Amino acid sequence: MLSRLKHKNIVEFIDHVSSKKSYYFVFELCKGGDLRSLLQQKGRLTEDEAQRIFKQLADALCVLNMQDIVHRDLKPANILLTADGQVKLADFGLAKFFHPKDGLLESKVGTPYYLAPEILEGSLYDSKADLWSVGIILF
Amino acid sequence: MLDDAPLDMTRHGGMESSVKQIGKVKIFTNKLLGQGATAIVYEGEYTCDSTRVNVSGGGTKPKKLRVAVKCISKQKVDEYGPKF
Repeated sequence: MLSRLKHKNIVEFIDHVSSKKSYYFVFELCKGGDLRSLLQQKGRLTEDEAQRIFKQLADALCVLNMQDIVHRDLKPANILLTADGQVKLADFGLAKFFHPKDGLLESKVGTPYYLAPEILEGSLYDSKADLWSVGIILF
Repeated sequence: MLDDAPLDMTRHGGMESSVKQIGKVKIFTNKLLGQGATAIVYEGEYTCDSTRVNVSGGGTKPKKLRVAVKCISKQKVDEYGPKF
């Protein structure tokens, strides 16, 4: 999935190798850490900083949407930052291809604080669940 | 873009036991970047065979990139994979 996602705001997948016991996925290194750590360190972001990060996150989400991919685990810990502060969306471990004509999703996966209500309720959901998570992150 | 600066081995204290080589990837298991329920992410070095760089005295060698390496045990994939 990641190999077909090429965008400046999505972490670049480089290669994968495997050993007898494990799989190893190689990604570009983001030296700026993640948004969760940044928030813990700074307490809160300024409106300008939040706006800059949110715009890049929205761009990444737009690309996912165009490729019929639902991330399903959007949260600050999965938003990486490069050394110059560029946003890179990461961790596609729960992501799934989704197209409305194939039916809605039902797996209850993700991180509780950022989950859309329909997932928490165990109802069917679609790509709009990612949009809810982005709203929580912005808040 | 990817950082292709030379790897600073001194940061790893010469602890050879904490460096794992799997194919083209060398993982510094003492440089933990993150840990989740199903995966652990380490810093690593990736040998890029398709891109070669010139070396002093002539010749070329494969380019090396500093990367993040996400490790997932096959047991976890078997355990969770189909449920996703």
